Amino acid sequence: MGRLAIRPNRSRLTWLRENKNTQTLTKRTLSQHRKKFPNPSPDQKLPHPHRSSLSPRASSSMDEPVAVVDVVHTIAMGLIDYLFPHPPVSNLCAATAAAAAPSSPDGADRISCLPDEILRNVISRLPLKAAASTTALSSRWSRLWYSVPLFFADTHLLPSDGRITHPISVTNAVSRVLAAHPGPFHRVDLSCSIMEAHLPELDRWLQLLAAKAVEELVFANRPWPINLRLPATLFSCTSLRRLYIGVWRFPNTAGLPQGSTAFPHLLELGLCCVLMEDRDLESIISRSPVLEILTVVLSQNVVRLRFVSHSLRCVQLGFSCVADLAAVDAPCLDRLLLSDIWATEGRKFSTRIKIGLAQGLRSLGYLEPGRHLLQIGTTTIKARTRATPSTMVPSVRILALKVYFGTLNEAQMLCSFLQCFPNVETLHLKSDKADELNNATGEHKAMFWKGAGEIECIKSHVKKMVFDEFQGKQSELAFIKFVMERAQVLQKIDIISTNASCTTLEKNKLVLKALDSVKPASKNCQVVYSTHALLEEGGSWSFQRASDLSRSDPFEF
Amino acid sequence: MASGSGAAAAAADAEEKESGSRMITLTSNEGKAFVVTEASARQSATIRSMVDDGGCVDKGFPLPNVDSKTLARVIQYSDEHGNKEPHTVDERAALAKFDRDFIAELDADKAFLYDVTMAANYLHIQGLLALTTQCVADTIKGKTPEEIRTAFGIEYDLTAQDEKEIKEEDTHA
Repeated sequence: MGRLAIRPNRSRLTWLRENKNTQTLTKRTLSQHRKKFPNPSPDQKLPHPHRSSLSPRASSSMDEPVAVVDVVHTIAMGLIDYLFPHPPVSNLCAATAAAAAPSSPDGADRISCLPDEILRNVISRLPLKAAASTTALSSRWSRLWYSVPLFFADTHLLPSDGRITHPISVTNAVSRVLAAHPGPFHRVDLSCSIMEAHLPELDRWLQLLAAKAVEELVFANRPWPINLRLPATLFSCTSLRRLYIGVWRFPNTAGLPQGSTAFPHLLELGLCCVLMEDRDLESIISRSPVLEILTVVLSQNVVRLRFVSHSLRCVQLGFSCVADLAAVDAPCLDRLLLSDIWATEGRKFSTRIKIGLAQGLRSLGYLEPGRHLLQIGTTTIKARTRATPSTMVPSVRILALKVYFGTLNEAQMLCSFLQCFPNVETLHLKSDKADELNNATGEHKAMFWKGAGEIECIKSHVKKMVFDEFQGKQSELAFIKFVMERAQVLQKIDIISTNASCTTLEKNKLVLKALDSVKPASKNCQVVYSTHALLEEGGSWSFQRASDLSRSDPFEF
Repeated sequence: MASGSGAAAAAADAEEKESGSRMITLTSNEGKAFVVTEASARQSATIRSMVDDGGCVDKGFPLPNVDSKTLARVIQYSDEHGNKEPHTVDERAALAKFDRDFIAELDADKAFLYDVTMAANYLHIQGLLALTTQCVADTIKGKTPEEIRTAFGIEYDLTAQDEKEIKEEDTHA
């Protein structure tokens, strides 16, 4: 868990500070809406803030700024900030904007001459309140907001310090906005309401989101409880292209008609801290025919995922207990990413990872030879498994491995794993800091690498090796030497220590001096040693970045 | 042999394309020619698609909707973003600073800001368009409608009836 950095997104905080008042937010919005849509709008039927239909207990618990809830909320939101895509925010000229003087000396209204397309672009960048208020500027502007697809985050509604002191007013404002805007909803981010206390709203919101063709939805429940069931109304949001949900129990898919499609346009699905049955996850994958990216993080349950999909290109699991992961039939799968997953019951049992039919798999990792049971086709890879075509995945070009170099068994397993991927060009290794179980390190592990047989990918294909979290141990050094002596097309080895003190750095540099005497198999091999601080930008794993298919190497930061 | 050298030439051509070392001429509506690197020109999706469709790279691209002053400023942006690829934290910070300075200067001259916005829209330079429209949005943020009208010189032309309705709604709400 060491790499999970919970840090609120800076730009989002800045953004929050600009939004002053929750209470008066939607007055104008609503009045404008009534003017344009004279029929009684559905929002009028929703409970008034002061005529809540909630039980007194629930109501008082929500109106009080309860410290505990806030702490839990902050943690949950920190996680969601970290894992989910952010709304685009920029504040580049806020300083100059504050001092903006009338800018048309001749008084000409040049901005209103800009085409609708550009003005809509401007409005789409405004927080809700400001966006809605543009309808009162002039007749030129009065209709623009309604034709801008709604881009709405309920964090827009919070007071300047970002604290939710009156959650019920936020919840009610969300109800009004979703009802007032005619759609389409380009993106809606909801993360400020305690949904357990608003079950009728929950269902109503999902109906509105479905009716107004929401394309992107980020929906996190405010804990607790963390296992509140999201209604199956979610499945009526068939226009969804990206769906990220957090702190929910996934709706039951059993009620969906057999063989039907749930989300015909869904490209990305992210589940953060979600409780779901194995069959629901599999069912939703098979019912989303164009789904390309699946991310499961902090799963509330043990993950057992066997997927068959002709569209998935990226599957990533992180910070979860995973018993089984099988790419049974996934011809388009480009990357299978695992970050900080663990097996059930400590280390007694391994996580079983099966690569079935995945002819396009280019990037894979982090595999852990000591903890993962790798199965290729029908063969489980063991320490002395002989490599044959049926135990190889020739498509993999980028392989990431997390290895504890201190035991002979892991060194042997590492060899076996590497044999399975004969065409790897970029090798990312992370040295595991597992406690020294066996203090008799040193010689025999160094000897192991001296006597190790040929490994095809290292011999003929690896061009770049990144050795992360180098700790200056002889067993690590022996492996690096082995690679240098065998790899004929190797161009670069990046050796990196994380959070190293000056003395450690100097010590490691001394250890690495030993590499000077190695005669590399490749003429052009360059060895670079550096350090990085874990929490610096780019220092920690990013699910967003890793699943960005336009980046060729998901492990590179 | 012939096919071998052909392949080599194609590879060299691909490499040249890749590195963006070709030069491209853009001509403003006043007939002034600007020579830029292909990498810079490719910041514009409009030009990028013309180049990739095998367009007339040698003859250059006339831009009838953009004047020289605006084009020079647009090129300043696309040079900075197209010719350099930021790798380190420092390089990214330098690029962010460039953006800040670039937009602060434009912000002081709204008429010119709109010209650059129109050009960015026409040329489909997403980064520049985002920068300029965000700048306008930032000016709107935190202001009352009256202040926004003053800031942009927008004439208030809602009818008395409209105004009455809004007022009534506000007192009700």
